[in-house]
Amino acid sequence: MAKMLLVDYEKCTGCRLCELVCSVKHTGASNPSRANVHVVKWEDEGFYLPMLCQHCLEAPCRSVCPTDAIYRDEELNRIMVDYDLCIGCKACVAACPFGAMGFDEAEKRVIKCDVCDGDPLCVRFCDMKAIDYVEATTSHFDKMRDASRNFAELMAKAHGQ
Amino acid sequence: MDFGSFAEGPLLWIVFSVFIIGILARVVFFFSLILKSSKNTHLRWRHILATFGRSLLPFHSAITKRPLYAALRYVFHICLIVVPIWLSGHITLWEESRFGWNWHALPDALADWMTLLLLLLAAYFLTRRIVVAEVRRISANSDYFLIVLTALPFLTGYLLTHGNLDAIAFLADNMRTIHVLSGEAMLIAAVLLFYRTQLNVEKCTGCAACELGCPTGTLESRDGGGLRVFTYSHYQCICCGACVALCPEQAAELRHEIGLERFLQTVPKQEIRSVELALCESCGAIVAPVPQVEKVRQVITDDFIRFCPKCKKRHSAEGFHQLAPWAKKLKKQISHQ
Amino acid sequence: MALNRKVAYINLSTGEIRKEDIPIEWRKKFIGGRGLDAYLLYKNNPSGIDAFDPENRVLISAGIAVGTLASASARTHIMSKSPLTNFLGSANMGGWFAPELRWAGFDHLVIWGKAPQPVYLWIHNGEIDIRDAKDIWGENLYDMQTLLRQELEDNEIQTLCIGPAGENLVRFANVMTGRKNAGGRTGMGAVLGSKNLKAVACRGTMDIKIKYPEEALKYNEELINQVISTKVSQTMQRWGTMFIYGTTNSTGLIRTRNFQLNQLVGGSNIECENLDKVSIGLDGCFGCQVHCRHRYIIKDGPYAGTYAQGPEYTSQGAFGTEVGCNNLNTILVGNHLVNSCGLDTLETGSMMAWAMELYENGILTDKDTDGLKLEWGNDEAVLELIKKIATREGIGDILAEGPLRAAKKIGKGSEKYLVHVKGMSNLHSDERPTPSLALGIATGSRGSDHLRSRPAIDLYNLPLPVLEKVYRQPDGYDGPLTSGYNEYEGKPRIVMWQELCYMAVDCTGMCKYHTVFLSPNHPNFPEFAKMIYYNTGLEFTPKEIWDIANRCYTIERLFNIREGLTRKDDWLADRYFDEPTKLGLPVAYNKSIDRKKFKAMIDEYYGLHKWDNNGVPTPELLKELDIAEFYPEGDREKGEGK
Repeated sequence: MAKMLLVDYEKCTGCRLCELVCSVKHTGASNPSRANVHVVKWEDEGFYLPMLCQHCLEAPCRSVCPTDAIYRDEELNRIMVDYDLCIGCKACVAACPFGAMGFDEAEKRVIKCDVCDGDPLCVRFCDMKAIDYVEATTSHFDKMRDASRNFAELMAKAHGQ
Repeated sequence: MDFGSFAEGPLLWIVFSVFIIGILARVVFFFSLILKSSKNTHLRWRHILATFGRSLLPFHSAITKRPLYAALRYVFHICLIVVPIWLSGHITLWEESRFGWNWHALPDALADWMTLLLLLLAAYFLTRRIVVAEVRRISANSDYFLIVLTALPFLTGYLLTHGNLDAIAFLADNMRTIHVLSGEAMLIAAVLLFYRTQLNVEKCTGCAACELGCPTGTLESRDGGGLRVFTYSHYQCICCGACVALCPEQAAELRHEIGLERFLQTVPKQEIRSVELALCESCGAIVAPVPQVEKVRQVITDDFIRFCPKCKKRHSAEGFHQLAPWAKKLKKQISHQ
Repeated sequence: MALNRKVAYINLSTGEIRKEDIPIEWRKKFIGGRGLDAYLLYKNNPSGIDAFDPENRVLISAGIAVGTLASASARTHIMSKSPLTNFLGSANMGGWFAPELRWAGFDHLVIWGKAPQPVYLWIHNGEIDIRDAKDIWGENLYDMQTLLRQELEDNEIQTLCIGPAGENLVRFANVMTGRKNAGGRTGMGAVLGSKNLKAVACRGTMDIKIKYPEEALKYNEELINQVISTKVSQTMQRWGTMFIYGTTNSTGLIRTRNFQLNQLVGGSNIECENLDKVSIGLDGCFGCQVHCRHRYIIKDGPYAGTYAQGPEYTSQGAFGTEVGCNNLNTILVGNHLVNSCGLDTLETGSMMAWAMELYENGILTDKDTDGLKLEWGNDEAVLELIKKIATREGIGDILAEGPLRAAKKIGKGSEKYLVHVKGMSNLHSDERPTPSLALGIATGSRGSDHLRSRPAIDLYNLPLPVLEKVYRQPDGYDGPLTSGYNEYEGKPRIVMWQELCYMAVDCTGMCKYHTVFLSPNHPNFPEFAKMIYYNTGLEFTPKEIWDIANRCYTIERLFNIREGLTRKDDWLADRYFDEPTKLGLPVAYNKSIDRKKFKAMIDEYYGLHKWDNNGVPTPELLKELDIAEFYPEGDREKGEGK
């Protein structure tokens, strides 16, 4: 069964190692602004939340792409960008509701989470498993839904529920 | 000296000199600006040579968009270049001149057919430009003028050779001069003729994909003061058609322009389009150009489009933060001291 | 490139800012971080000046591995001349400031002068601005960071800042970042306060290129596993540093009531397990998987509802054992108060404990304390006194001067109650049963200190083979080593080894908890070499790192000597020798330090360091370390940041 990235916000300690390893793996440099995961922090309350691409089933980025460069890789349950077709129009950057599609100014192309081809580094390096790579069963969606209703609407839409 | 001798003598010398100097000047401008650009420097010559090669063969990337029209244009240009150079009548003149140059001529019948073909195509282009509303809307006076100017030497040449209008005395006496003059006009026009990228105001969404694909970096955009301004210089352009092929809205076109001011526009680059930018409602960073946002809104109806990626992350996270039971419990416990 | 960060020289008096590349020779000789700071401070500071003099340089730096793939590569170092001790002032803090400084393009900041009005530095992607701090001067540490983020319109700005205590020139004011990351010791906050520098804010999005990304990622995984696979790390992951108390208190290795007892009898309320009642989770610094502190919300009393982070083992002593309080809430509130005021928790606690002992002995009376009852276990008095110290009010004004100056002001023999070395107070650990730890605090380069040379693993009584694996490399020491922590033999070597290990760690910017501090199996010299190589491309052997650490440590020693350090400063208060411990297990009971044996340890320690009998580095040593130009009597130009 396909796997998915799941965030458990109660576990995140805000260390941002996920951002560091993601940027090093994909760009060869330590630079969180070029990472595909970002920890949003509320420092006054000690609340930390890693934000990632949800690899939506009905991905808005895919719907707006004029060259069909964004496709769904069913085997790894991920949304990918085909850079041979991508023209860099950045409609997908505007369309993603989670801000998960970014534009890398250094390489001049769109960047997004690619689940590191099945061995996500953010999961491997997070000792707390605040980001985990789990079977994509409905129980996880329910867990996310319990988290928040507004957000759940978004999540439901994202994962085709 | 009568006017005819003047036209075929000193005037011809002047025109050819202007033509050669003008073309040389353009070559110099081109190389100096191309070499100054810093984009893709290691691929530059490959792009230039590839583009030149492609233009000789009908595999231009703009062809995929409108194949029939492109094919007709290609044929038109072949006739336009081949006939004047390989016409036996012209070769005789070169042989008789002080240069004494001689080269193999086209069979006369073929030259005639090619001329007629060109005239037919010219008529088609002109009619199309008058009749088809969409094309008419984006046509300037110079576009019509250019077709007529190009057709005239061929028309007068054909009439001169075959004497179809010799019945009219004035034309019978002066067709040769008219032909020479029209040819000279075309030569001068060639110095001032440019093939430039234009961004259709009604279709272009300002996404700047064309900028990313431009191999020489002549097509650039600059964001500032709530506007995205596109700049371009024809002297840095190799007319490869990458912008035309890439544009998701078919808004980028390579179109002829004719004019002395274009010849003199070496630096700075010219502004060819400016489009309003939509800014993030949270932080003021650039989201996307307004027309692109409107286009995305046709597919996506969420409110998130009003924000930049950084703020979207924060707002989505805020969704959790507001409503997650755990976070709610937390907030109740915390008060600021 | 991790090596292309710059050093900025900032003169606050004139507003002049100069940015320069860091020469590769400096990297090869001093690596970076604390080591390079020592060199820059020694070279640029005029000797013998007052710590509050505008010419006193304050150096803020990020180690060479900060922001790269080294575990917990987050540490900021700050160095200057200390207003507390008048010797080397040096502090280290975690959080996210150092990585952000590196992403903004800088590794070292050299700041001097005095701004005409309160200012802060704004560093962003290679640019440095000096900005007016009038809107944040006077604000506590939590609020001012929020205000700066609002003013600069970026929620992710990291700030190094001083609190009201630093503004008031409390001699042990700290610098902080985030909610609780503090560079606490030696009063660096006061130095910044004397320069009218309220904060250094930075934000950066520049690349730090990793030299060998694939290998660095793989090695980082190994390094992290090496750290978190040890039992002590796992305990810290769960409880934070307060877990140490369980063992040390039951053994009798904790100072209580200043120095009178070495165990808090019945002190179970402040055991770390009680934190579960208030903790909402754990928190850590950049890149760290040990996340050794709690996020907690105060439940009771006037501060109920306050969110804070910590508390550390140090606070357990400062607001617990040293002052005789057995109340977790006091520790939680005390930790919050010192964090928001910008005070060194350790020094504050020790000063309060000393004041209480003076009060007990009638040297301080109610008149001196404005009616505040400084009795052992008086929680309210403790919390009130913190605020008085931060604002220099009444007795707080005297205590804010630090141990020696306050004792001078109070007089009446108050000095003999002080527990200090070189004018800086000690952690609430009781070193009387542990000669090695006693040697560490006596000789530490910044004064009595538990972080500069503490051979904490000595407390585990590890078998010799384990000790040999750690302490005989990388230079092949073949002298004696002993297991028991009551011993004197073999201890100078382990103190020296730890000094250099911590110096090396501070040069890289990694966290000390990830080295041989609490576990012998943690990374040390061989791992540092690999880590530096994969991330920056610089090649060092473990022995070369040892030599560099030795070089930098020697420069610190030279700085102290230049500021007047002599052998008699490397000594302990008389109480260590004259008052044996009164409680605890047999291994800790009735113990005191033997003067003769301690003197012999100091001699041996100087010998190992190749210092002469007065503790001055010999010319031969300086030549060997290639810093011959630094011999104390030699010429040195009065630098202007060159």
